[in-house]
Amino acid sequence: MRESDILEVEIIKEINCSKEVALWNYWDHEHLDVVHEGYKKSDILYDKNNFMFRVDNIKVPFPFLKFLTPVFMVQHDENTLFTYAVQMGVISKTTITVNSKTNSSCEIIMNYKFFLNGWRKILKPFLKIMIPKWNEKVWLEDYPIKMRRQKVVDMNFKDFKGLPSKISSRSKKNANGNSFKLPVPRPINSSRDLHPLSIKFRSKNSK
Amino acid sequence: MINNKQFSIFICKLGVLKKKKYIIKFFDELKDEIICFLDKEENIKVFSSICPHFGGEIFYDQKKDLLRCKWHNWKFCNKTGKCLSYPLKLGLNPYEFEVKPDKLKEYNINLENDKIFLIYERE
Repeated sequence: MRESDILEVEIIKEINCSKEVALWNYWDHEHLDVVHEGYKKSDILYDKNNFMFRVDNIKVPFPFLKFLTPVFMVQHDENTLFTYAVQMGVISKTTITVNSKTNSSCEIIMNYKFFLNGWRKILKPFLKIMIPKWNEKVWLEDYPIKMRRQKVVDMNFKDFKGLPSKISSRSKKNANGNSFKLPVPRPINSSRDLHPLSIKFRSKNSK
Repeated sequence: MINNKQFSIFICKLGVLKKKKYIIKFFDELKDEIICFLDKEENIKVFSSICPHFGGEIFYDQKKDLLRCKWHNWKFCNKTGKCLSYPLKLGLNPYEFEVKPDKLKEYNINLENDKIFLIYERE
């Protein structure tokens, strides 16, 4: 195993949302197949506290072709999350570092590493071109979500509750900061927990 | 009719709503975003368009005659705003409205220029 077998791509972006909103977006797995065109299906098999294991069904730009991708995600520390995945036999490691700039802006460093040993070397020029393109597409799909999430958080929005009933409470000064806690809550029988091997799977007959 | 504690805000003209089928607007007075739509039976409905799940954008699915969230595909009843995807107590807040210069049902001509107003109580 050599370091030269690694393809590394790093993309840095800034956005007008808090670090907590940016991290929430990465850990909100329920939006993947609704918002992102590239996802056909996504099943969480296990998640707890700061880590998660899921299997994604990814669409590729060839008709009728999809592939299954196991994904492991961990919130390594307050600012850093790692994602390990295997796509078509290629192991990848994504490091996302989110640094606060102000209370409502942050910098996101997205570092991708692909282990391209043996025959996989031939994928290098293709991935070098495709990764920034794919990153841009996903970034643009997520961008309005992060901006809107920041807007509602600033209006004192509470997950699974909504805005406060009093209009005067819908303001930034009343909002208790942008709290971000893992795991991001999902309803019972969420569309992410329908795989029979999922730890949270409940059959239709169970109560 | 609105009482002396209530205020009204202009949403849109009925003709515009008929053309677009639904309109989404943010009102500073309410600190809320609303969706105004015409259901399959051509009834006007006004709800908050901020999904109570995580704050996603609600739109009107004309084909299925229900409200849906763009982020997680949660479905809501077009009549009550109740969540249809999961057995949760949350839902979309409904808003009162009026059509000026008179109620919609009393009109049979020149409806296009009628104006829809949202009614709310100032705190």
